Amino acid sequence: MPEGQILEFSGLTKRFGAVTAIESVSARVEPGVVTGFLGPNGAGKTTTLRILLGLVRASAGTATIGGVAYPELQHPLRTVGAALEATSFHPARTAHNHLKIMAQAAGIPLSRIEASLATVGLESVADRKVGGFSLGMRQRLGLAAALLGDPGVLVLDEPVNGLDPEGIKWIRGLLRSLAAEGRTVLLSSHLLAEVQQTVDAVLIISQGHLVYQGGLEELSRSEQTVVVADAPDRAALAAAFAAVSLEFDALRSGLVVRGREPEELGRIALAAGVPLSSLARRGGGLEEIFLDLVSGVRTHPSAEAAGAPAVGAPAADAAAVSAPAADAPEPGAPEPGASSADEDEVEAEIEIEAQAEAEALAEPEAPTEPETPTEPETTPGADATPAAQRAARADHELPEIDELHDDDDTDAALASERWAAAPPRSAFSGPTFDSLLFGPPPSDDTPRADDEEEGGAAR
Amino acid sequence: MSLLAATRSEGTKVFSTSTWWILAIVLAAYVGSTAAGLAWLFGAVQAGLVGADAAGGAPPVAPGALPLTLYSIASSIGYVFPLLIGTLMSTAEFRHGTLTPTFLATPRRGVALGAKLSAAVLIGAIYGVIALVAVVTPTALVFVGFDIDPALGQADTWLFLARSLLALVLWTLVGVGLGALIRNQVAAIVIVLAFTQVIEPILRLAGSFVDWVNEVTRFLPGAASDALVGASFYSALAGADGSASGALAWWQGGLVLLGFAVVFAVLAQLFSWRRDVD
Repeated sequence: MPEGQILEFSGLTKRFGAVTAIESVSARVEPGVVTGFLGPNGAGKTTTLRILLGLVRASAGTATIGGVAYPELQHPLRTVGAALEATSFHPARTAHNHLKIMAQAAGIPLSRIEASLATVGLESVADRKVGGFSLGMRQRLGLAAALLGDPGVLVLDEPVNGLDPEGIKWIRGLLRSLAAEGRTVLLSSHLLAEVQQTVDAVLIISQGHLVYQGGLEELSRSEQTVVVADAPDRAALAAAFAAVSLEFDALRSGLVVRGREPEELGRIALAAGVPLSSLARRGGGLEEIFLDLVSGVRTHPSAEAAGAPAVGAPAADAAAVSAPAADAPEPGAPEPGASSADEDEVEAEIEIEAQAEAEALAEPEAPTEPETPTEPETTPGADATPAAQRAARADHELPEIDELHDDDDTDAALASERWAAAPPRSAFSGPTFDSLLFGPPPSDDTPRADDEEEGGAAR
Repeated sequence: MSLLAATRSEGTKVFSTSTWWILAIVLAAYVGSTAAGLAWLFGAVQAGLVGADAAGGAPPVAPGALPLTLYSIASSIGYVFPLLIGTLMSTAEFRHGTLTPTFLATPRRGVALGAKLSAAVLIGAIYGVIALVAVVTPTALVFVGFDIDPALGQADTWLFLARSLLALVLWTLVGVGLGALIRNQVAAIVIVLAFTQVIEPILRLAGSFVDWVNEVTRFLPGAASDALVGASFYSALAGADGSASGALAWWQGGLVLLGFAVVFAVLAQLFSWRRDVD
């Protein structure tokens, strides 16, 4: 049985001329779990994976597989199986011959060709030219190529693209069983919903910067209060916040404040005599947290933990849960908020940002509360649990995906209903309740659930 | 080990699409029909059926040189085909994005290029044999019909054919390096055809009139190839013996042609092959 290897990215930077595709990406991918590599199109996912595979040279930093750079691997295809974009096929060549070429170059027995094609369900078209293949068939062929060497590490770039629902279900089962065998599985996607049922851990990248790494469960559990406030006179609101040393980011949707309650912000605005046009807490749904991380509305300290064993390790989980409660400034974090801010707002925001920076150091300390009570059941790092979690998720995978696609962002009422029923809710309320008991967070006696739904509905 | 494996893989690449046998058939038909037609023409002239009496002079080619002159068609006309297949071996990888699987399986770029060149030796040899068989068979049959000795019993003839084979192999290597350097398939084909069919013939024609031009043009790949083979259909027509004076020795010609292959391959490795693959 091939052994999974740890994938390690360390300070990885790639510039294409003046454009920086990725900057200082440090992350670690562990064997035995399926890790999702998420981010919007153009975030730098493919570049990162291509550097890992030795196809693109990094401007700085390293990417290694079990401590070894890809070109130095003794048996590359038997160590790492990769499926990148589904276009790397000569259209006039048969599927069988495509794999034969790779097998011969890598010294893999030709008997593996039939086995790989059978695994992906292409054995009946082995001798047909790839030019006549559908996108889904090409994805499968790419996967067959990745599996050819029976590798301990699988790196898949958007493997779900072009697959029909049945194919998506099939690839989920396949990837989970491969990870359960102890292999390292890293797959990229621009849709969280697409891989939500498959992955145990996630790396989230946005505009070339890593914004989150850790377990999928921690992503929803590590709730950070995020409130978006806006006013017709936004500059006045910004000045009011700055006057009370409140740290905020100015984004397209308004001024984003972390670690404060809506009521508190409302009081500040009232005291300054600034009428608000909106004041809403961001919801705690997984998809929304994901989108917030990507857009910079939300930040997460795991992004700075360079190379820390954040994925699946209990120690890191504790850190990931407790740290967000503290509204500490993010020293290593780039300014994703600034970069995603609307162009036409930029002039108005220069002054705001300068103030925010000045205030950063004076930020009031917030309690850090280790959330040990909820830890044991939901930690994916514990050896037995990932399989159990996967098994639990396996039952209801496809319908949920479709549901997410259908209603997300389109029907707020449905969405809030879904949140009311979604498991992350319970995980979310746990830590908050604890912090109410043990920590001195800003005064807030409103029940959480109500806030939650308001936030969801307001969206 | 890994070079051998990668070479086998490169061979499979060529033989798993139809390009190679289509080009091989065109090569055989082209040089074969040219040789058959010219063999018949020279045979008829030799036999006094056509031309010689009317022209009142000597036949265009000395009778003893006739077989080799015709056999040289394989290299002096046919060389563009191994050059093309070599070029396509490289440009097809860029065109179809197959460099990704190639470099995943063989991450050391130099080894991958070395494997391509090694496979090109085999492909070039196959094309060479096809070209020589396609030229020698009809020529010998026609000559026997005209009672001319096809010279196939002489060791010199077989050495000549061996040098032709070597030239065609070297042309394939030139193509691999050139294709890897140019990257764009259409551009590479246009450049190869324009240079071999138009530019170099014109330059060499100028060289046959002006000595100092010849000092340069004899180092052109086509001229070097003809020098390696030892006789050329073109040079035989250009001037019975005058052409030989300015040409390189056969081994010099071989080295010059090899030099083109090496220079293109090194330039490709340095400036193209090691680039990022998107």
